[in-house]
Amino acid sequence: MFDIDSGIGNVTVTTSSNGNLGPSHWAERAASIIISVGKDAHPTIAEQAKEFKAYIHKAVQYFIWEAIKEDRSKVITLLRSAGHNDLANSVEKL
Amino acid sequence: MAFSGNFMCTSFKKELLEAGHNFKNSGGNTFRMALYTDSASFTAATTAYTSSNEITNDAGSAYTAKGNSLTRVDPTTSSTTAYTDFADVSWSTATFSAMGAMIFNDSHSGDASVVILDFGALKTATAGTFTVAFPAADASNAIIRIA
Repeated sequence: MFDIDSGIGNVTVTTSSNGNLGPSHWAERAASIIISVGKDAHPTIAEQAKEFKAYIHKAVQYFIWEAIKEDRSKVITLLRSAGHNDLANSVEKL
Repeated sequence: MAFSGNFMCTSFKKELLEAGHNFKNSGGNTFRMALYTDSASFTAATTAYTSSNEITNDAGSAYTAKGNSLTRVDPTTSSTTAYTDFADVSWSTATFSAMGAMIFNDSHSGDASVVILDFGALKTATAGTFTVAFPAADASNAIIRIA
């Protein structure tokens, strides 16, 4: 006879009100998927992994902001080329 | 509180032995996450998706019946444990509350339930984003594990 054990992980729910989850949230998620520190990891290795995870978080967050700026720039250009200068100015101030 | 913890549905375990579910990223079944109110009453004996006590929008139309489909991550192993994972799932411009969720197989006849997830508290988004993040995909934490 073979025994098979099963398990379920815990999900984490995050919500926002009157706005979206910002780049920091998504950078944290990305870092958590890229770097996972095992509970049985040697303390020195775990500490290094946590440092690296923090670095990944910062790097991802930076590039998310860069992507947002690029996308907004594209929207502004499209709005101006369509003659919607007021809308373009509003987006530019975001 | 109607939700009382996470459950792997017993029927799902049986269906695994019958090759009733395919979690592969390529060519696998369509799994969905449906959200429920605190009035939902699920146990390990739950066998299938139900629209009873499924949440509705307090405003807008972000949530639709049967919830959102999940992006599968190929099952893998670590030591003697096999596990699978899904990408995080989000509802944007959301105005609703949920107490828990069911992952079910939309490709399976009868929309067979897989797991019941208890959020631990009522979670509310108001004109914002409602996101469910899955745990680390490893032998100790992954959403579905078999050892």
